[in-house]
Amino acid sequence: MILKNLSEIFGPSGNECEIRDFIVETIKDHVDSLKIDKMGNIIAFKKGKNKNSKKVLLGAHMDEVGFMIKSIEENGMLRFLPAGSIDKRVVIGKNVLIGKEKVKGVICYKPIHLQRKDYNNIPDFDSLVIDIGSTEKKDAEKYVSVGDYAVFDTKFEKKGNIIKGKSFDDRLGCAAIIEILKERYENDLFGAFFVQEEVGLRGSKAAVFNIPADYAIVLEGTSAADMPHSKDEPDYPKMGDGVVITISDRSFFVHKDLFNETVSCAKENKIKYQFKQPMVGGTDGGEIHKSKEGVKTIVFAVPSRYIHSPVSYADLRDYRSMVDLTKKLLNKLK
Amino acid sequence: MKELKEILKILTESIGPSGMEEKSFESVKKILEGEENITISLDKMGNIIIFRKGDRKEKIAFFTHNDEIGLIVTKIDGDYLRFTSVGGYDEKVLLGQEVTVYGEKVVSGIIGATPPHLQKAGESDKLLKYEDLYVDLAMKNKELEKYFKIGDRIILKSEFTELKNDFVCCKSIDNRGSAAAIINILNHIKNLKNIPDLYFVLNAQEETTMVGSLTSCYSINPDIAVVVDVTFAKQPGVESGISYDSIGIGRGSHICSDLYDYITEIAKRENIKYEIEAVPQHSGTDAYAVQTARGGIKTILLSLPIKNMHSPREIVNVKTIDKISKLLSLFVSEVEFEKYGEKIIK
Repeated sequence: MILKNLSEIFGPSGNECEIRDFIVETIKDHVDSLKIDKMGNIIAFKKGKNKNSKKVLLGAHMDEVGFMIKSIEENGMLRFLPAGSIDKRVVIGKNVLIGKEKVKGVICYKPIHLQRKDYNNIPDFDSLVIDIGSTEKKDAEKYVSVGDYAVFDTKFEKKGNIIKGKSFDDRLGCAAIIEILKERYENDLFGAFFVQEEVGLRGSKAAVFNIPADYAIVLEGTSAADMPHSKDEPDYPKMGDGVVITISDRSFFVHKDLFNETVSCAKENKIKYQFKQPMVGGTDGGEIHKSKEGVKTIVFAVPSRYIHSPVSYADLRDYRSMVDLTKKLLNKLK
Repeated sequence: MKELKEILKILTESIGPSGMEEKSFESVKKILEGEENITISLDKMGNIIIFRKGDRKEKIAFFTHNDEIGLIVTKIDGDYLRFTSVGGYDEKVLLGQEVTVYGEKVVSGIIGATPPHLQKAGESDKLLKYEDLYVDLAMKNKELEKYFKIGDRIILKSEFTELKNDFVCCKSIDNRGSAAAIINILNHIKNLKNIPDLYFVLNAQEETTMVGSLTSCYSINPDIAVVVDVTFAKQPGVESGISYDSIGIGRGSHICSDLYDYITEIAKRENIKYEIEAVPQHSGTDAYAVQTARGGIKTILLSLPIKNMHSPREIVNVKTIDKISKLLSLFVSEVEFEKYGEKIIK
């Protein structure tokens, strides 16, 4: 199952080579042209069936949140920094994989017995270390270098329609584009896999400079909000309620024509959809829609619980709705 | 063409707070006097661009920022000037500091400090903020109104001082120390062949918005960009800094990992001491703006360790600056551009 590979492959923001190689290998026989730009974004092109077609950009980011090793202590412990937005409360006691060799490590904090006053404080990244089993700096340096990246070490699993794994934000979007690129549509299609979304929407900003798109559809994994929480907070989007359509987030407002077109397309084809809470989060759509003279942009997402943590859930039926809706639009947009 | 220490002295003595960098244009011309094969220009955003024609068709641009942090007048308050910061001075260094105010007239002054005799008990434990501070030009309100207005710039006075063992102390080593490092490349490449077109850019307004690097990188559109900025040198209280005699080489999302591998290879081969600086997210340098210019620019980040950053008495070792120039001169003469472009797979 390609989702297993996509979820487990190493690719923190700024170090996307392994996930990039995997995607290139997977799509290269299904596209008309393919390149890697100077920032490391993958840009594939597939000509449309219709001669006078529009150009549609499908974009997803291939990076994931992770860590970087900042320094190595005399006692062999590694100090680290986050790469992307990670809640410091989720990292203690989690397994990580470090660098090219995937050295196994554990994020450590002193035991509860010894915390005393610190028990009521949330430790900063500064006070946490990764233990790889080395007891001195010289030994640790054999396996790890300052500047090496790390990601959570999480196994992918599937139970019925529910999948469990890391990096569903945004490897689910990557999976969707890989699948969509296998067919040919009425419109010309650019399939782009961006780097560095999690550190400030940086890959898409550069990539779209060279993509002459009439429309852009960004495919994402977004936070599902249907877990227990206080009553006055909205509890949508929900896992299992269909593809999430973004009306607005902190980085953009959807183009209203494209939005209307999308909703009527979903209704016509009986594709299950729901809306995202407005003004929450940000995606590559934020950079793409304001590129050059502007691009009509919309964002679809699979709702996923606990994104940006070591482990998330998603529902394959929502993924299916996202792929179906996107495919229909690729034939329909004029 | 001047020697490194002289370049550093001329650059740091020139006045150029963010948004007013064009004043240092004359200083740059003075440094490069007599140097052949170059042109110097000042663009409309205040960026100073030194261009040296090469014997290869490719382009490498070096970006350092030229603006220095400073203060700005917010109010004429009786016989005194109130001010705030442009770019992040620590208020703790300001009390009792000599300054120069650039109004219709250029006048020296002092940031006043209440003598202990006049302080109430416990007052010396209070941290002073910008709103508590003022510049005293020893002028009456009438005169102040005549020569000064809101928005006038204030620069802290700081003389170029040579310390022992090639250390120097002065203002604005952040980031004129890096500017000296890139201009000094011209001294190092005199006998080297196979040099591409080189652009040495002294950017405006890094300390505020990075508009200088955004615009200059767009217009130059280099094949490779090298950003040089300062970093923290180890000093008491700054254990996480790098050693004063190491070059910092950045590794992280703004930095092209292939070029990072390449430049560290050269440093190892030449025994140039370096330390890796981990910058997973925003590096707080012009590399942030440069890397995503146009369709993306292959970028590397080098850093110069300095002590007392963002104070008027920053300290640097001149030999470390020279190491950066040496490393980059080898880099430009050896780099194989075809390895670092776009990759067409199909």
